[in-house]
Amino acid sequence: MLRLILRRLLVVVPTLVGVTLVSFALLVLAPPPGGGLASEASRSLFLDLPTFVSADPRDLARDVDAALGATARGLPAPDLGVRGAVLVPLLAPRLAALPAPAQRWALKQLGPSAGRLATEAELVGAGDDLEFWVELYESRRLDFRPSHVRRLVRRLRAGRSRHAAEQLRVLGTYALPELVAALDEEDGADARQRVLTVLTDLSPDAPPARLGVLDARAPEAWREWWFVHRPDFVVFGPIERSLSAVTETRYGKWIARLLTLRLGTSAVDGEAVAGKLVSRGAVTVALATLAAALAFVLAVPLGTLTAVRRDGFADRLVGALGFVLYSLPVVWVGTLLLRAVCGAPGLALFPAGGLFDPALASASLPTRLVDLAWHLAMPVLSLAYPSLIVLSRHQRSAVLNVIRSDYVRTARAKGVPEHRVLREHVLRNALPPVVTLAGLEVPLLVGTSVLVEELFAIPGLGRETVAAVAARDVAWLVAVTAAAAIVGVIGLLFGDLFVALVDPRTRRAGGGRR
Amino acid sequence: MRLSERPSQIAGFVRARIRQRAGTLRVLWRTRRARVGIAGLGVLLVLALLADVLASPAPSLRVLEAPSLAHWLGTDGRGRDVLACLVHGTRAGLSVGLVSAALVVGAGVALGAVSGFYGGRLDTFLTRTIEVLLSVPTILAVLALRGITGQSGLLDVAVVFGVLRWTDVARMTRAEVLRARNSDFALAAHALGLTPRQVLWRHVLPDAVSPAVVAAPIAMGAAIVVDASLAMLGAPEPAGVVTWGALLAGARLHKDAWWLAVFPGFALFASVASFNLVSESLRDALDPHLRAMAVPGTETPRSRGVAGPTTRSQDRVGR
Repeated sequence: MLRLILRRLLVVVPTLVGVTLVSFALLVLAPPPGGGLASEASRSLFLDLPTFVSADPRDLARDVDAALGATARGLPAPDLGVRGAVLVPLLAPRLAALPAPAQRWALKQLGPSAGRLATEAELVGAGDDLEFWVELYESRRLDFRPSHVRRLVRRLRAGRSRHAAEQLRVLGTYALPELVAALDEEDGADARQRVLTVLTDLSPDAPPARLGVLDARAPEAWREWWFVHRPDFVVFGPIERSLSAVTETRYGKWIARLLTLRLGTSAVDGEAVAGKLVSRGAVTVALATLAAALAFVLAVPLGTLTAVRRDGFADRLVGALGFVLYSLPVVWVGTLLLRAVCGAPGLALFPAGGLFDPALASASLPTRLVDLAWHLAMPVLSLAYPSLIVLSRHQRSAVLNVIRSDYVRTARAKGVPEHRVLREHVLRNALPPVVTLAGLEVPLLVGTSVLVEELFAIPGLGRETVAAVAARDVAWLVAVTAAAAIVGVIGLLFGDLFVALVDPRTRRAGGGRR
Repeated sequence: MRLSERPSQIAGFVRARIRQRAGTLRVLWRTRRARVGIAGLGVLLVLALLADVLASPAPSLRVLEAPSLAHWLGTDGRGRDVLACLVHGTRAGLSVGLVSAALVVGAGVALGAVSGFYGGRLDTFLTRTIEVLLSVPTILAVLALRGITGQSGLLDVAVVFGVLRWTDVARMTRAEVLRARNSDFALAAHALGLTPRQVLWRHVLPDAVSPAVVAAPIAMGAAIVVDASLAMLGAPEPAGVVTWGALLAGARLHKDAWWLAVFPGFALFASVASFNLVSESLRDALDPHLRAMAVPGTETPRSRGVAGPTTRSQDRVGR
């Protein structure tokens, strides 16, 4: 049994990889934003990276080497001055050994960091630039160590040292990794604000700096910025270096986003996509689950009844009604329900939208639950009826198949009461295929709930997605497709596992699927 | 087998096949449901072909007029006659449906047959692919694609629908091909020296296409509904095309215009119902067990929805 479950879970892995590939295909289809490959919009989509394999992944060290190589060949080297003080430990010790053109380039890159690193006296007192940097690095060498920065950040968060912030500013971009990591700590608002202030000082050109220190979205914006720009400021270690051939690619970054739930920030309101996905997704999943449960609970007795009374009045009535309902599009039923019973403009028996009545915000819990059920009735109904019809048809044909079997005839022949035949022989054998099909309903329900949410103004994934389409919010759209597909995979998985639980035959066959 | 016998044999085979097909059609036509469904589709087709002759959905100043003798079904927010719009909307609906169904059936039969007949690693790969695509909600995928690429042509919906939803047909075809491949007649064909490809094309596939034939009309209806749902979700009406979905979406804007909510939705319902009727009758006609019951003189089979193995997964593909 356990082995079967484990095997089924293992099969999910390639399916999930497939889901990441499908959602990645959407990402690749996104047209490149204006401003070229180096622009912020392109970089946040990782358009500057190769798709699957990177022959020469770049980090800070690789950039510097490439630039030095260019100067040696007399080519114009890129300006890396914006990288700031991280360049100091890379360039300063090598300065004296560099050929003249490379030396000139290196000094130019170091220039912007001089003001922060050196005191007034040092700036004035130094002879030429080369001598200045060699001496400066000699005296500051011990400061450019990760452990030192970590100590400073710790002191900054604790708020007991006034010098910590000053010293971090002196170290400039070299302190970025530790500062961004500090945002993940469970700190108070004060400590977080101090960290954000220093971050804003260190890289004033980064887009998150524009949000300001007090904005609640700022920490996530900095994390997202760092996720994109980390290779600009960090020298990869040997392990990361070798892994980066696959991780520093568009697909690698997409997988990293999914695994770390760092799905970027929404273009609609600048909030973190992952957080919004959870809060809105809960509503959609609840809606779909309610609809699936309602459909299943009604479909099983209905399908069984129509199968037992085959060609009777009830069967024919349900058959005809089912056909009509089955052909009624949700989009029309929703529109009509909204107009007829939700007071837009017909009778106001049910609320026209939303999940709660704002007037009842301070009412007691039971009142609010009733209010919630009241708001959900029509949406769940219009979501559930197609599944109800489909599942009851499947249930009917499954029962019909079983009822004709020899063991049912045997059971009846030996005098087992009809209700026990039905319960123990028919239903137990008819249910498993229907449960599998109920699992298949999950992706359909999630898709349809997009429509229902939009019609009934329910704040779920669907409404958010419609807003995202209008805003061309690629981050949200790709993430929501992947999330919905993953929910669908889980639905299929649950269907199969349930069947394995109730049906001993699948266990013996050793596989959950036909 | 002597070579000289072959022509007569082939002729006999062809005759038998024609008889079989004609028999299917005759059985199909015998039920009332099938006749209603086929008549509905015929009306759709005629309206689509003659749309320009019958009515013109030109915008006018008579905006949002209630149904009257001049405008039988009223006018919409741009002053277009709703009846004329419904007539012209059949074109968009049928083209979306046809392209989607062609993709769904073509890809589904081809990949399902290859997967079931040859098996092996290809089968595993295709089965996994199907599982992945089954998990992606169609409406969400089309919506996401529209938001990402910024395009929303009529055929984009159809293509995405086809690319995502061939999976149901492929699953059913695969199961049928598996069954037919292991049957005695396939073994006999193989023993006669036919190559695997010949066995697949001449013997296995003809016996395994009925789920795809049944699924095609359902796919057409489902694609039309998906297109209408997308209009409700804010997809702009493509330039120069009238769609039922866009008309229905107008009902959200103009709350007093009940005729915008009722008539386009009914058109949608009527065409989906026709497609479903045709599909169900096709299923009954193609099912050998039920066909045996439908011999002349006896009553038509009453047992709607009795499922043989082929009908087990009549999934509809969208709503």
